[in-house]
Amino acid sequence: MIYGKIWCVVKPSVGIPIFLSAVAIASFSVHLAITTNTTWVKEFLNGKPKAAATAPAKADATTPAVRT
Amino acid sequence: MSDKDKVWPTGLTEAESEEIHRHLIQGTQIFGMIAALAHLLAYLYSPWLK
Repeated sequence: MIYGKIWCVVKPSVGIPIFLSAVAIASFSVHLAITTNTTWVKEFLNGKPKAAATAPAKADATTPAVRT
Repeated sequence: MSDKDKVWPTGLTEAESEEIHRHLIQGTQIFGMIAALAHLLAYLYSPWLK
């Protein structure tokens, strides 16, 4: 297996927590960025239905207008 | 003592290192599959990307 010998030179007790932390921090950052930079997450989590949240898109389907 | 039985500075042999790595890769694959499923559900049932 490629890179399988890495644990001969990196202690697993150090390397594995760093690897798992990197995954956790990266995914948390992406989700935090989405929640803070959009409005629909908050609306959706507060009970605004998906259809209402995407109502402008539905209107677009019938009338091909420019979306902003 | 052959090279395969050499104990490296981390206290592991090559075979032990590769065993740990195999489990880590398997865990990553399972995590990835669960994440992909979660993103599919989010795409289907939330306004994400709509």
